[in-house]
Amino acid sequence: MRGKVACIVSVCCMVLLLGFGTAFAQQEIKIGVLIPLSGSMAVIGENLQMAHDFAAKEINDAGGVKSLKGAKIKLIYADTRGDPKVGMSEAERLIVREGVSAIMGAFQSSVSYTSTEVAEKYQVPYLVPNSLMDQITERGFKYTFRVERKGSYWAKDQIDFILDMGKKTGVQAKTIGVVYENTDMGQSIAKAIRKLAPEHGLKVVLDEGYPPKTADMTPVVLKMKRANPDVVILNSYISDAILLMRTIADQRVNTMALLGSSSGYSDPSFVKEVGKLAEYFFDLTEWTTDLKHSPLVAQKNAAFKKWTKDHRDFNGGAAFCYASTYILYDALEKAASTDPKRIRDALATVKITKGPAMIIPWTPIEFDAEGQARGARMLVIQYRDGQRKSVWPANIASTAPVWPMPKWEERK
Amino acid sequence: MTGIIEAAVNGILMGGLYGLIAVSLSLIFGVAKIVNFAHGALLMVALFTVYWILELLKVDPYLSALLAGCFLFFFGYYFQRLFIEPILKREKDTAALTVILLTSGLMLIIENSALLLFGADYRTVRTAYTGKVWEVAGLYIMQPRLIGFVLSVVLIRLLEFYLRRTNFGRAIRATSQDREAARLMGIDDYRVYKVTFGIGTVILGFAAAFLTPFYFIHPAVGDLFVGKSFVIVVLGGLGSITGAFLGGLIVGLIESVGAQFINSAMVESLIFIVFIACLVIRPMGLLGKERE
Amino acid sequence: MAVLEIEGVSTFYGEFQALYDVSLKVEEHALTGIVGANGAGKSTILRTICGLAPARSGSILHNGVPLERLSTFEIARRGIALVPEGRRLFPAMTVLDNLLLGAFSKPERESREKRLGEVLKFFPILKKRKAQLAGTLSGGEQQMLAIGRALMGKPDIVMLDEPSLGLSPKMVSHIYRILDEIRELGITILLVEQNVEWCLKKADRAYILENGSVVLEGPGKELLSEEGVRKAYLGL
Ligand SMILES: Nc1ncnc2c1ncn2[C@@H]1O[C@H](COP(=O)(O)OP(=O)(O)OP(=O)(O)O)[C@@H](O)[C@H]1O
Ligand SMILES: [Mg+2]
Repeated sequence: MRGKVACIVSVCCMVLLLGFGTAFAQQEIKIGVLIPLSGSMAVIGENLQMAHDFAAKEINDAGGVKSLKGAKIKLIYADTRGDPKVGMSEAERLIVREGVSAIMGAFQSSVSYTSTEVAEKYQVPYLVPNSLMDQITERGFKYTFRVERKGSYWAKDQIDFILDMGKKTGVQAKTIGVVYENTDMGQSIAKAIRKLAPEHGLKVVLDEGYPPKTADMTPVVLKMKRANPDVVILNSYISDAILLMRTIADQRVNTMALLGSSSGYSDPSFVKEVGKLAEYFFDLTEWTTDLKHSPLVAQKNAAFKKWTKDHRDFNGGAAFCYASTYILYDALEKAASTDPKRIRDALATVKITKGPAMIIPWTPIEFDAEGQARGARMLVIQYRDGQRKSVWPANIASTAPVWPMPKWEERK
Repeated sequence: MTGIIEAAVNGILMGGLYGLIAVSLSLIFGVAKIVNFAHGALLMVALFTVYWILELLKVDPYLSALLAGCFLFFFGYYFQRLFIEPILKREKDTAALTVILLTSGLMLIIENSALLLFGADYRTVRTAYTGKVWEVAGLYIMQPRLIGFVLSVVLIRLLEFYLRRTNFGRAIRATSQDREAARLMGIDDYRVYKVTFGIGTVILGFAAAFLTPFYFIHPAVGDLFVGKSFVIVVLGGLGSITGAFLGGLIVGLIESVGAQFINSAMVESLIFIVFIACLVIRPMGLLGKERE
Repeated sequence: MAVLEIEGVSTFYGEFQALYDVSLKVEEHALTGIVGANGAGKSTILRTICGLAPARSGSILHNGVPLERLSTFEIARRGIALVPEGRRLFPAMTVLDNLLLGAFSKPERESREKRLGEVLKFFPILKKRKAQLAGTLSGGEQQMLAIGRALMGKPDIVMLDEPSLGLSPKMVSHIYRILDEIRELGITILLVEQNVEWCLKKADRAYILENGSVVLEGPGKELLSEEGVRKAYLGL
């Protein structure tokens, strides 16, 4: 008899537990992610998608959002095809049809610029990990937050680096060229360099924006050869980065330094496809795997590498998407709600000093009144033996830079 | 000045490849009156074909064109047979529009299939010609581009010879001029269309082999060439082979030399200005036939 | 046996019926004529035989073989040549190319050179114009080229659709002479002609077409002497 009762009770308990358990497990927080997943940007989009997925998996495996009874984060991807108009309609679809609580994206500045407008209209928080066009956070929007540094600051960091190298090595650059894809992102960096360079005694001798989908980079490179700048700052996506690099080598254009602006130059395909030609190429970036500021960098990169099918490293874009997912997670914990307005308020007041988001090398992570991450720091890497080695600023760098780059004729 | 000469040389060399790609489009349009929006996707298929031949067989890239050509002929032939021919047969009057819709749709399908099959990675092939440069009087001439250009000219001469001097070539030209009359000669017009499509795709195979030593391969790579090809075809005169090649050279030259004087971002507009100016002066294109 | 035997053929252009239950026969080595007013459906008969305007019902036999299910190029390869209304040459190709296309199908190709010689002898003017583009020929020359092109295929039967249309009187009589000569070669002819009198005089058998139907048939000379025909078609 007692055995029977105990049995029934325990069965009841189990049913209850299981019932609740599944009820908890079923609760999901829908987060929209806008990225390009088809067309020529697809390779970039897929890389970012893996980073988001990896972060969400870690968060969910660790018990989800605890303040929401362990609710799981569910990422809903929408393909922008790299098109600002598509970005808008997809943002609308995510909000209205999918009912997402927040959005992350959209990689390209032009797409972020338009799609954040939609989120603002519907009052849904929109966390921008990677776009750098200044205006994205300069429209008085309440629901837009950006983790990446503004484009105009990138330019400042690039100029600082060039001046710093000149001082350290005595080989000082006097002239500078800017070559960029003529999109919002490219223009935003170029504009800032046009303004900043002369203020620091650097003469801009080449200012060349080439249209997206340029089939042949030789005309641009020939122009570069004629202008003969000491340093060229480049800003490209992948296919154009590959073509530019090969053509610069083919035409034997020698400079003190070629300095990229992340994006295509930081993508794994770049070094894979141009191979030895990438050697000594500098790249401004938000992030590298060899950063010394926190052991988390090495740990999380190793975990990501193990998890991805092709065992890839984080690049800057992916690291920021990964960190952004954690920033949003932090806000969700604080908000203890799936209500977009609450999440927005929580995002506005985050002050993150620990956890995986700290793979980003600045502390604390917080947003100013514009929604712009405060106090970002940029760094420069140099390709050495096919690896991205951090070379600047010296205090977090792993490697000493080679400046100027050896001439093409002198390379093996 | 050497800079400008260098730019002009590059413009001509690259223009030859643009021309070759446009010749294929022009041929298909001229004969079958098909506006093939999947042209860029077919170029991509050609590039991947060459890529895999080079990866697996490790032959010379220019030899790979012949092997790729064999496969691509049938690819083009059956592309026409399976997708376009049924529409031409079913819809006599509205076919032109349906074909545009269909080829646009096929473009998306082919590109996305490639994305699924091969992933979004950028691929390059290091061949014996990659990065090789001839230095002539202080100018750097990239070997694979010069070889590609010369072979393009040879190929177009061969194509013209085929169309002028062979029986089936004559049938192709007859069909392009008067389809009904061609049928009355005992010419199977649908077979002509299929073979023409096959030949057009073979030409893309050659263009792909000429590009590969210095280019990259990606499911969306066709997008870089397709818009230009349409401009070139109209500029050269619809259906004209020599016109399309000449149009390619002109566009290549404007693109390369123009960029030395104005911002590259503006060069596209320059091409369009020249394009529109040409059409105002010669509405039928440079070498197009006047139509009543 | 009749070379061509057409039985109860009706042809439509979309909703519009152009031929009503047409039956006619073309005998070997004979000249068969079709006459009728503009829009009566003469060209449509020839186009139907060639499969350019397929019949909706009825049967067409060529030496006993049904043609209805064949496509135009297959019908052409059986040796049925049409010299179409408006000639339909390949204007951007040379005279020589046009002629060679007339012998496109495989079996004809063997004896192509020989036939080319014959045709050029038949039309000496074409020999002179061999390398000229067909589109630049005069109207009469174009008509000769169209006929020559049809003869290149060693046809079983030649169908001509108004070969004298738009030509000067001198050229018309020249074309007529050529038709006579072709006939003397023993080639079967199906002729659609504007000049009713000439056509009926020459035709072994003729058909008169009105609004898509055959209204009268018989030996040409007999029709020519009929009162109704003389009134309606010859204005007498
Ligand atoms: N493609 C077409 N579509 C619609 N109707 C047509 C077509 N071709 C001919 N018709 C019509 O069919 C009828 C017969 O035309 P057909 O050309 O056979 O006449 P025809 O006797 O040859 O006249 P003509 O002496 O003027 O050449 C005409 O009423 C014509 O308008
Ligand atoms: Mg008629």
